[in-house]
Amino acid sequence: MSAGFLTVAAGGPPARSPLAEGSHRGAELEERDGWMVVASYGDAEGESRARREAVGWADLSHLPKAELSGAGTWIGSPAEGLATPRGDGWSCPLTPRRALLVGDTGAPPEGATLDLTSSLGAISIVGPEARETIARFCALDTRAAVMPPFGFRPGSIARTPGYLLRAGEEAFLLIFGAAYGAYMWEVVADAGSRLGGRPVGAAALTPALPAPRQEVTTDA
Amino acid sequence: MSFLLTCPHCGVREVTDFGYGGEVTKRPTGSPDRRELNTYNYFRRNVAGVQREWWYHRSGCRAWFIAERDTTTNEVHKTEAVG
Repeated sequence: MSAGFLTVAAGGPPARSPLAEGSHRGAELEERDGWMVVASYGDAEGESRARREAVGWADLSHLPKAELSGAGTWIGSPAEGLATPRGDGWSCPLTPRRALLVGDTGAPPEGATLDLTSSLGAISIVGPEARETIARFCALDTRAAVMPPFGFRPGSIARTPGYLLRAGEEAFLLIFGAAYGAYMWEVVADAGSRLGGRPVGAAALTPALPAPRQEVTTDA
Repeated sequence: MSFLLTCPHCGVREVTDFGYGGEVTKRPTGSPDRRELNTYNYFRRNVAGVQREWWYHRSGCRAWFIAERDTTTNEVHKTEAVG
């Protein structure tokens, strides 16, 4: 079965995030790669401060996402629980024969890919209170000793199936089914706002969002 | 009722992360008659003790695996990936 119907048509109207009901409220939007993306919520300084001093969360559902299946070097080892940087994205191992590709990884050298961009939503959670925010709705262990940067955990997030990627020391990416988009946005907002956080636009994330091209040492 | 299961791919998770797939049964080979098919489809040993059973990590890697669990204590002796 082809998943072409899920991809954003070139020249068509820009795609809307499955979280738009919550994340687009009060937002300044801009078009990126065929998607309407939240650039900011009109208070760049406040958003930057929130992610620096407490926690900020951003709708990143426009990030390319795909499932890679088959064999090959890109799949990696799920037992290690670490994502591998590939291009401007990550390859996140699910099983020895399947991986989730997040971001612009480029085409894998082998295996079959299925585009999941439109069927999965994504929220980035960044800032010193990011772990505490996640701990309020997710039982996955995010301590650095257990889940270092680039750690990847499939599991229950707010009682729904999802994935958690630690993109940096204080930066996490939640990935979940698109149908849960509005619910997940509300869950994260409920948890984060009690810790002094606020939603932020892509502009406020820029330095905190991971730079996957950086080399990662996993044997530290 | 709650206990932990170790997914062979994702590690230890709460049992609520998983779906139970029933005890491991032997699939009939060749051209089974109706009695064999009936037995395969509907009869279970329902062991009070350690049994091999299928589990599905629905909130995680979405893979099926096999666990050996004591049905009287919910102690999971081991889990293994399939295929």
